[in-house]
Amino acid sequence: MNAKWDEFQQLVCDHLGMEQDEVGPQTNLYTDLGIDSLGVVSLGLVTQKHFQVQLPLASLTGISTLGGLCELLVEHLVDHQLQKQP
Amino acid sequence: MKFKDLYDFNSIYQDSLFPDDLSRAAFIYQGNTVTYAECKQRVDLLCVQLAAWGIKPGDRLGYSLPSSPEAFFLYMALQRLGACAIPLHEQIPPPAKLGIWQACKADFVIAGDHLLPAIKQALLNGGINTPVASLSSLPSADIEDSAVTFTAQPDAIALMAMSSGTTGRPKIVAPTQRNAATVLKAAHHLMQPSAEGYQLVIGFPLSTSGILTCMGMFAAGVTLVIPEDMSPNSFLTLAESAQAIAAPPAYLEGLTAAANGRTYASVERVYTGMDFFRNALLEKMRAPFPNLNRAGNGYGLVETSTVLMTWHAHSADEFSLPTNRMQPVAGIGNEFAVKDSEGKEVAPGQQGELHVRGNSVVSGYLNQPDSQAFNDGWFATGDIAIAHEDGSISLLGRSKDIIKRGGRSISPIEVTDFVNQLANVEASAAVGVPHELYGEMLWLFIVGDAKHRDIMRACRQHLAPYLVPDQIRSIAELPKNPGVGKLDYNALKILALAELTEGADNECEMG
Repeated sequence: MNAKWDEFQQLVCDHLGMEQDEVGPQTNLYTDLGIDSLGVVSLGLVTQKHFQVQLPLASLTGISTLGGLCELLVEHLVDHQLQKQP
Repeated sequence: MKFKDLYDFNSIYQDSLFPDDLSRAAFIYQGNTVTYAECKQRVDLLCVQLAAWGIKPGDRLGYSLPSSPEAFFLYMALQRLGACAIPLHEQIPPPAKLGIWQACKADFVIAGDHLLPAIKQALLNGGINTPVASLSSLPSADIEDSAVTFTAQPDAIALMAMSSGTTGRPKIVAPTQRNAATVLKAAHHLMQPSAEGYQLVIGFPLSTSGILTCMGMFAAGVTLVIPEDMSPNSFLTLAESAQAIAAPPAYLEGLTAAANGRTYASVERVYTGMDFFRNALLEKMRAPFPNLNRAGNGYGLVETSTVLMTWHAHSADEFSLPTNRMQPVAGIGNEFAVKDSEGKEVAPGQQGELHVRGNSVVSGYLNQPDSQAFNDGWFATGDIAIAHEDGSISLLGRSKDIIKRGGRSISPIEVTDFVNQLANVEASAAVGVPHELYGEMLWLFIVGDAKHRDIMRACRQHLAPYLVPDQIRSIAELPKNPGVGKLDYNALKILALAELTEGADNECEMG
């Protein structure tokens, strides 16, 4: 998994009240975690706040696994860093 | 039932307001006891004095007095005469008081001695020549020589109050003597009077709702102990020898904190109203009040002349019963219906807005006769409720505070009643925060040292998925509205929105 996975996994566990061995990259947001689409947006908000990055709502609604959400995060972190470069 | 079929105050006063033993204590104030006999004597004299001042049936009298037995005596005298009372809390500034009394078209004004100069000055400044007096400056009169006629009718206006109602626009509510009589019966039921009587310390301001409810307590034959000021310490000093206490929930919270490890072993009963009475608060109160074994909560609005439904715990074992599941007071002539947004009654078990009609309900707003809140005798309370097959009704919150998340209506109470019982949670509040995709998100604010992770885990394990908070924030103290200290949901929404808006601003900046 990507370099941000461990930090992201910890964040997800803190937000949802879960243990690390209960969640992995393949964990399905809807069927495994039992959260709904608004819950995914909510998880997105927590991720944004923690990593200081903006995740477009439209992208969030297409994600179905934790690994997918982490990849989306990394993509936007890279974009964010590129934009900050002079 | 006491007061059966009596709907004008003078008949109630003469027939059944007082206990057989008039030597019993009706009030304890400033260390002095006022018996029912003394109380009756004072009210009878005031009737004569007020009549001598020129007050007739139908006249409207605005007054502002300290919380004291005198405030009760004046209210009772006005009701006997068939006049209308417009009581206002002492703390309201004099110009604001005059504004309300003018809106209600007061014919006379009475103020406490210490307030009289400021009230007179405000009247002068406003060019208003309404007669004004203090109780001590009323014309002297002799009960024996005077013949006062008492012609009060059940449909005469008993008192007036301003209500923010469900829209926030001030409206004048004018309960009749019939409406007001119902609260005497309902509060009598709420207070569970006992043959031997008991002392009850009251922490309600004696403005409209307070005077109506406390009159019901008086009618229940309990001895009302009135603190000289509203400080928790003054209240607690009186509680050292009382068997019961009554105050709004926010005040009870303050008392519990102010007790600071002290215990008040004589107190066995607690009564409240004007807001939800959380089980968590009741549980917390058992530390300073270890012998609590009865509790009650009354539900009502100014438009329903206050109490018309009650919740009771008859022993400490019942303190965990859902406090929001209330029973309509029987025998006072009210009907209840839970209706959908189109005004159709919903089946038991379904959510809708609580409507009520009957003896407790005013006919409308004096200054807004076309208000949509009143329809065919029914009053739309603005409270979301579920009716049950057994006739009880669960209250879920004000309709404006209900969270509409993803097409579902969520009562903040459902969430916080669960969260409040978790370890290290002192208090909590749930609000709906507008969101572009899903209507509203469920934000939970907590006071206490609980970890958000632990709260989420417990919520996800025990609550339906749609009741699980979307976001949790810790806060030093929950914001309260002025007055009786109801939770300020709007302030919490503003906090949440500020955080969301900050995020949106970042998005714009990032292009």
